[in-house]
Amino acid sequence: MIIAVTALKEKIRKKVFYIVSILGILILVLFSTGTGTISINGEEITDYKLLSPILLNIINAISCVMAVVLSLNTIPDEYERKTSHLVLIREVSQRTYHAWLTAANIMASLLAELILFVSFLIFMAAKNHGGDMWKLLPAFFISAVGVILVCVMTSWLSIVLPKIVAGTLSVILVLAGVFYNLLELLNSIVGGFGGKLLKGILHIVPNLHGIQGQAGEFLVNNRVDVHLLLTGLLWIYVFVIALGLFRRKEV
Amino acid sequence: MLECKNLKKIYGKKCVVNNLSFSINNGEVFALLGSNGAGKTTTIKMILGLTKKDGGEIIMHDGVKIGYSPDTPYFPPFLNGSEVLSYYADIQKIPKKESGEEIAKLLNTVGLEEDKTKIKNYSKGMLQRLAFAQALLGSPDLLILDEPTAGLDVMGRIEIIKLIGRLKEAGKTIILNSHILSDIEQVCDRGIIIGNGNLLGTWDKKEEHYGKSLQDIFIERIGGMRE
Repeated sequence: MIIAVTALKEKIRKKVFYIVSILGILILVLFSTGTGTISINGEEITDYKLLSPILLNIINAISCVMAVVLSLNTIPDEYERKTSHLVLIREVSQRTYHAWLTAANIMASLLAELILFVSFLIFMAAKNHGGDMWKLLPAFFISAVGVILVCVMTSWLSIVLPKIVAGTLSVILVLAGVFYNLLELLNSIVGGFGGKLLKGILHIVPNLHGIQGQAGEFLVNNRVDVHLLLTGLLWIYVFVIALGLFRRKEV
Repeated sequence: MLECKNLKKIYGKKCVVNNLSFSINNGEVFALLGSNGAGKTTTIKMILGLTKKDGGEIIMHDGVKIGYSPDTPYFPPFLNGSEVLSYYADIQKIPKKESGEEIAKLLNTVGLEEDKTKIKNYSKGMLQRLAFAQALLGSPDLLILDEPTAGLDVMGRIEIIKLIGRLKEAGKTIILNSHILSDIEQVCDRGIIIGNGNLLGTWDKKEEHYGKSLQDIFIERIGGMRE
């Protein structure tokens, strides 16, 4: 536990943590005050029921990118700085060590997401939906599935691949996951080899858009697709198993 | 206490440690001597179990506890000395009741104050001393010190050498990895000279070596290897 807590303390001291959080809060404040608007086909969206899922999607996308940034360096840095030596000689297995460091990644990323979710309260209050505030907590837990998935995936990639490759691959997977609905749309349009390739990609990319989108659905009283959430949990399970199976040859 | 027989380590096609054999007795300070890239750190990593050996044997007495001080210690900069030791004591599963007293004692042993000074404000010498203290947690039987004086100024080196001397007097068995010959001559009892992973020679303070100093022996062995 002490490994995770210390790694978490180190993470929340990173500038990127605050920069992205402030950026996210600014976006939400802009929409809350009416300074920022979203238009579709030239028509401005002001309705809470339409606007809030869009804003939650923005929060989720920022949270996922934050999760990559916060998770990518934790494990490689421990090995580069050789702090791993002082832990591993104390009869801590690599599996346990990686698990605690991944837990720190998850805690830091969820904390960043929580800051963004709390700032969403301003938007709710501004739109006279203060009575729905309680819904934000379950919505946070739904959205957290996606963030945890990204953390575990990035942590695993950072063990098995060089940092730069792991980072690039994580960002590609997160972007593909966040824009999963667009890939699906493309897949329905594109035929031939391109279509088959897209279909293949859709199988190996976690549907972050679908998973986290359920938070927005819950918030506006729409039906939550439990199947998508279970798929997210299954992805997490797969990556947790992978984390336990893979270890670094050289420490 | 420890015996290494025909240790071997291969990275890719390069053999970095080749049939290396040596033994260390209780209570002695043993030197691993060699130029950079000689295979000293790899040997240490094999003893610590951080790297798998590709051949040979490491025989250690049952229940021997090892403490290790790395060459370039890194500790979380936002912690203070006590907190760092408390972190490692926790990982080592030393009960809180015992660790508090031990940490205060260890900080005193290495000449650090039990204050709120953060690691980010520590000098290199203070970091090395803190690394020593974490290595001494749980009272290990064997202490492995990797380049403990590297990067230190004259005063820092003197402090560390004095500290090793005090630990020696306290009866600790120490493996000292260094390429600073004067340091080794000052505190070590015996040692081996390694070059390109091979055992090039041995050195014993008690032996006369035909009037040659450690530096002479080292140059003779390493020079011979370069020719």
